[in-house]
Amino acid sequence: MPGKSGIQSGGSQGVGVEGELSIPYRHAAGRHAERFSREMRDNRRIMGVRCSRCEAVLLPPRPYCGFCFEPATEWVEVADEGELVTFTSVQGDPDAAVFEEPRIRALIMLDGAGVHFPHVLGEVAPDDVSEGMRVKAVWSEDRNGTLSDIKYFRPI
Amino acid sequence: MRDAAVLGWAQTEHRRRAVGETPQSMVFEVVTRALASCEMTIRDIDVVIDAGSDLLDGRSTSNRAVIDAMGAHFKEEIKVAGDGLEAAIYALMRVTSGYSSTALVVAYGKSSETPARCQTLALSDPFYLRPLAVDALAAGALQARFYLHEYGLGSDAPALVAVKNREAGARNPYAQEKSPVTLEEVMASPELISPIRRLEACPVTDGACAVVIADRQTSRAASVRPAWISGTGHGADPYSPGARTLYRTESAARSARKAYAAAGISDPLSELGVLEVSEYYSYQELMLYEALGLCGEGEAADLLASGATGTGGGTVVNPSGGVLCANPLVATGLVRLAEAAAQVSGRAGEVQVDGVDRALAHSSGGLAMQFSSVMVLEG
Repeated sequence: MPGKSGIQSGGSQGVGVEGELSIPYRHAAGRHAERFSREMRDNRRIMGVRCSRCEAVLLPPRPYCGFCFEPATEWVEVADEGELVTFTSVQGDPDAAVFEEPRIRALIMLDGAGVHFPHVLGEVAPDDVSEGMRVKAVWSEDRNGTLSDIKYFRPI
Repeated sequence: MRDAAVLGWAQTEHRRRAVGETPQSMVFEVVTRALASCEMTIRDIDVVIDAGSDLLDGRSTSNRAVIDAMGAHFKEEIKVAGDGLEAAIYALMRVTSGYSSTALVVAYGKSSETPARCQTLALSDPFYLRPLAVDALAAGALQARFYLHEYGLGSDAPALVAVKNREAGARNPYAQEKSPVTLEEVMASPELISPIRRLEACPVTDGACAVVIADRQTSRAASVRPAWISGTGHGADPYSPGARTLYRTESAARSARKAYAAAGISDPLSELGVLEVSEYYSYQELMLYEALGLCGEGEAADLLASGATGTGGGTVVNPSGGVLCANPLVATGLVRLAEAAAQVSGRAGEVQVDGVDRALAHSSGGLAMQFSSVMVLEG
């Protein structure tokens, strides 16, 4: 946490002081993400919650429906396959991703869900991806309750 | 609604790296110049509302460090953790409530001091989105592709936004990008993340902006021509990009409807002379034409191609060059307000559009334009 000390004369950058804030966090998943994780890890199931008013199945699961401002208490399983809504290919900063390859980020409308689920695509070249294609989850054999329990979604 | 007006403003000359400057020195500069622009001194200011970013500054409760530079010690001061246009909305509330006569709005961002990506990746949910490396650029790319696909547009449609805005920015003495670009150059620039190309993305910028907002009585007595605030709106979409209809920006549409209702605007395309909008990526300007009611859904590319929103058009969008020509993060939306106020009061200098009676300023924030603010100004 204390910055590296010393005035740095920096040529075109001017005189500066190096600093770095490295702040560790342990974010609570919360009880909804806990159950979501457990179901993925133990049962290979993707679970959402249903809004008590508009009946949309929400992913990721949360205690409320933000559209209706009503509680969402009923747990519902959604399919681990669905339709590709939109995607973007590759690049970005590899250091930031726990998903090594592939890095085609996607929004997927899983069968039974009311909102789009963000994840990544695999077993497909960016040029062969198109909106509306059917995709299915490829589950990891080594699951630990994180988002990468699904390695990626692949075209069916 | 003519209860408050923008009287003065100033912005820095925006640069990739403001060598020799600190947040404090940039803030002091724009506050001093903004007060001078409406012939006030810091003693005439009742309240200071400021916008800054703890992550960008690397300092918790970042406003503590710029209090002196804003002239805010011994005054009421409130920080907004968002864009400077949101700070302006707070300032408007203060002066229209009668609680303050004058408010100073300050926003600054020195993006050169830390990798911008650290800031924008921190916007996303640590459990569901951060592992996918969905930062502002990736969320923008998802939204851009969704929008283009929904309306069957080619990727050259948003590229024309960059051509239009860079042409305008070349006239703006405060812009960072001051050279025009051709459509061929935009299309040939490397993809950052498909479909967003280098020349279709905002630059990294150091800069600041300050604006003085005053109540009706003070504005009527002012020695400068007021830019009256006739309507405002603010709104937000759901946090998770997947929970939105991502090819639309509902928050901007609702913000605009609220502002138009207050300002008595029914046909924005014919009633607004200028719009200054926050297009962090080129496709966002197209989406905003639709959200702000300049055209119907899916019609923005045709409106742009018609020339109506370019130099010499009837409704000029981003005569300053917009965010593609300078992105002093956090101050970006407040710069839009300063530019819009300058247009309606005939003080826009090199970028002045003739005969602007009404102008709109827009800001957005969060991943894929989650937050929107709109202000309508009249001469």
